[in-house]
Amino acid sequence: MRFLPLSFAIAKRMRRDLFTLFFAILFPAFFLLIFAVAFGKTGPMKNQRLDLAVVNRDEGLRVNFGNGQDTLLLGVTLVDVLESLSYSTSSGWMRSDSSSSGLTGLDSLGLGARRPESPVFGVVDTLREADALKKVSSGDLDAVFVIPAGFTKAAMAMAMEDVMGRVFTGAMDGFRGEAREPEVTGRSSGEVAGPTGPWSGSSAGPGVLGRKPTVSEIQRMIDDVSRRLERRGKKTGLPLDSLSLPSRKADPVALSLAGDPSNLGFTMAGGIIRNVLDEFLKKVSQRSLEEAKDFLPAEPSAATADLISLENSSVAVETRTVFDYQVPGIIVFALLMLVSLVSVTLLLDLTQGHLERLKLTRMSSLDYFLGNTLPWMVLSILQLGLLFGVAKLLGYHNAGGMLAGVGLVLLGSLSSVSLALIVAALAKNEKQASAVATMIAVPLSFLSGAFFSVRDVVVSRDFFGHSLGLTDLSPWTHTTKALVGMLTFGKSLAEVRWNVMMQVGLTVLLLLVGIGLFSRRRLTAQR
Amino acid sequence: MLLTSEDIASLSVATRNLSKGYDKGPLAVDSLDLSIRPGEVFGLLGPNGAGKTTTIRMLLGLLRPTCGQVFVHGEEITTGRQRVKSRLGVCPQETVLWPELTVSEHLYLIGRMYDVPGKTLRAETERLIGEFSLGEKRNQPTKRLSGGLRRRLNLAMALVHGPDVIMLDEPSAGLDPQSRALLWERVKQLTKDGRRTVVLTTHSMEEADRLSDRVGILDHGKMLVLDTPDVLKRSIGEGDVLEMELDRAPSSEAMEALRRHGRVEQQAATATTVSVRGLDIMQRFPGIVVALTSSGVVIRGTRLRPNTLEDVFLKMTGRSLRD
Repeated sequence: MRFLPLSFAIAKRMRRDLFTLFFAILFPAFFLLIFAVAFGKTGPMKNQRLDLAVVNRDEGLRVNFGNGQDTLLLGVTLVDVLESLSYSTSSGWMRSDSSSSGLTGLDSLGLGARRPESPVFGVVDTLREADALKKVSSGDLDAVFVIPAGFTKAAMAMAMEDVMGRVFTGAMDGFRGEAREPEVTGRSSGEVAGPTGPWSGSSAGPGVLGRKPTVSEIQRMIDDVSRRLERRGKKTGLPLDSLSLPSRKADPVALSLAGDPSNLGFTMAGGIIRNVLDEFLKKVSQRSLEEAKDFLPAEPSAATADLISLENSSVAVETRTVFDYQVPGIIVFALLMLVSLVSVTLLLDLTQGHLERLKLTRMSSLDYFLGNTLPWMVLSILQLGLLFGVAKLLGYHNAGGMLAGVGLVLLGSLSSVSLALIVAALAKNEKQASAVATMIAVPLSFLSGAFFSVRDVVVSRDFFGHSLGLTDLSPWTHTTKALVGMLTFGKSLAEVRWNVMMQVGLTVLLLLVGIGLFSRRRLTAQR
Repeated sequence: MLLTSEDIASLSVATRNLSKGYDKGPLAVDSLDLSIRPGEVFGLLGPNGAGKTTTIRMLLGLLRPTCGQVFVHGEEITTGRQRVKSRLGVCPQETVLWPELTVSEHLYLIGRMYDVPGKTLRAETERLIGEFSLGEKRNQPTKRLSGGLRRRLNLAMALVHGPDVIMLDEPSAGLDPQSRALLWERVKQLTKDGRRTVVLTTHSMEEADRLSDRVGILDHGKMLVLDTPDVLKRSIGEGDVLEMELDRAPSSEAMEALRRHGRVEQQAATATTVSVRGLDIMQRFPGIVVALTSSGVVIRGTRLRPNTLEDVFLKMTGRSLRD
């Protein structure tokens, strides 16, 4: 445990050396401030257009809601929604005002769009997915979005879950009205005559079957109620005959979004599309209820006039700016700054004779490494806290808590100390170390996607099931990706496990090289 | 003389055929055989570039010898370095301190690095702070200490883990007379019990003479002489030295007359200081005066002194300047 006294001594030295401490902790915070001003809410970069290719294979669905048959093409509608999304001046992005686009199926849903002035997406319709993917590889597109066949069918089937429940309730109300008639004409109280069939019983309501009815059962029930009412010379006032419900049965479909994970645009597109899709399906369901309202009991909630409008949505991604994607990057930049600080400190130990003084003691290479690493790891956690706090003050919209980043930052600081060991093993003095560390750390910051997404060179298209780019060979790339995922998007550790695994693997590799090289060149007896 | 295993085990420090060469040039240390006994203060002298620092660094295990072996208490330093380290205490030539750490923090850190248990370390820290008069400054960062205090702390750090062999590399360099006197006193006490050994390198012949039990003079990587200071002083000639300050350089005839009274030393033919070394030099003094004054030289001052280690040093290493 010789490393602990060494760690404490180094920590004391750091605490008493305010100049170094200032640079180690406060400089990244100033950097954050600069980025917030440049790319925060008022920054021009927030209106970055994301280039998206859409492969729409949806064939639509013929449907009759009582006012005539129509072909519903929700795939086309979704594309239209994406095209019409625009950046607002007060928040991240929003749906533009809608108007009729003349597209088939849109009129029935009341959807439409005009081209927004500041679009979120530059959408390219295509049916050639392979070509689009090539453009992603070459950096010409941020992502390829595939809407599969059966999308409308599946979306409507989901929507019909709600509709059928309501229709069933309405039908049963009608049935109860019909059943109460004899009571008025002298039938004994308490006798409830109901229609024959599966819904006969002593009480009425959706729970009478003990399960949700099927579409055909509902249809039969509506027909039955209508006939009874007509037999008695009563009108339902509802165009029950014209009602034709879509099937609840549909094959599950998966929409896919493909892109380069190191591309910040792809990450942004993923977040936005995920939220748009959720909102879209919700609105389709609401619209279906709206269409069937004449058959339904009292509305449980007010239907919205604009089905796809997201102006007032509280979905977190709506208020994101480029700054939100850069905050994790600046945390990684701060980690990479450690390379310079640690390597200079190690070289000062060497040139000022401290290392030789310690070599005379029983200190081992591991003691020296751990003793030097622990204080910097603690510092990086303090740095994370400070950067996170400052980022929040500057308007950072995070979906994940700061604690989610602690492990990643500790790993990242370990990577940085390892690289510093390599620099300190090869440099002759602190000036060289500072210059070399800066020359390595600054490009690494950019290549790791700390500030902006970079075009990557693909090394392997299938590396344990993942595409591997040249920048993926840097552990800090994975720190950035994992931090963006966990802090900005609120992803779980399981969701970023690939990046964490890569980070761990690359850090261990770097650590072994660092310790080996430093021990051999600095800690053993000179030749 | 070849050392046996028993010899090596009984010695504090021993080297066998120790050599160090670099890429080009002659060997910095050439086949050095040292036998330093427990309880001994061993003075290692030599001009700049003689190989002293290289030797010390090899003794400490900081530098790998080209060939040969180093033993500390019978343990070879390359194979048992971790065990040997606890037995070695080092006071480097340069004061190596962390400017932001205090006096007591330095002693604590170094003690912990030698695995000294907490209680023992606290007691030892207190003892050393008192012994080296560092009490008032114990909580001061070392960047605020004077040069003398820093050197005292440097020495205290070499002793905090209770080593058997203490290497002092020019310990009194830059010390004022008071601090030097304190240092010499401490060094003498260190070996009083006959258990500890001190290896001392210094450019101060007075320091080496006063402190060392034996002195070795190293030059060009080779040990030129090795013995007690008294034997070494006697080895360069019995008798005393008469140093005379003249008004001008004596003529060749005057020099010839002087040589009849003893061995004459003159740094250069034009030098005005002349030394005559010989037995019963005071009885010869009148004759020396006559020899000089008859040639017209005026004697401005005289000094009589015994042989010193410096005489030995200069005789062995010559008077030419080194790099």
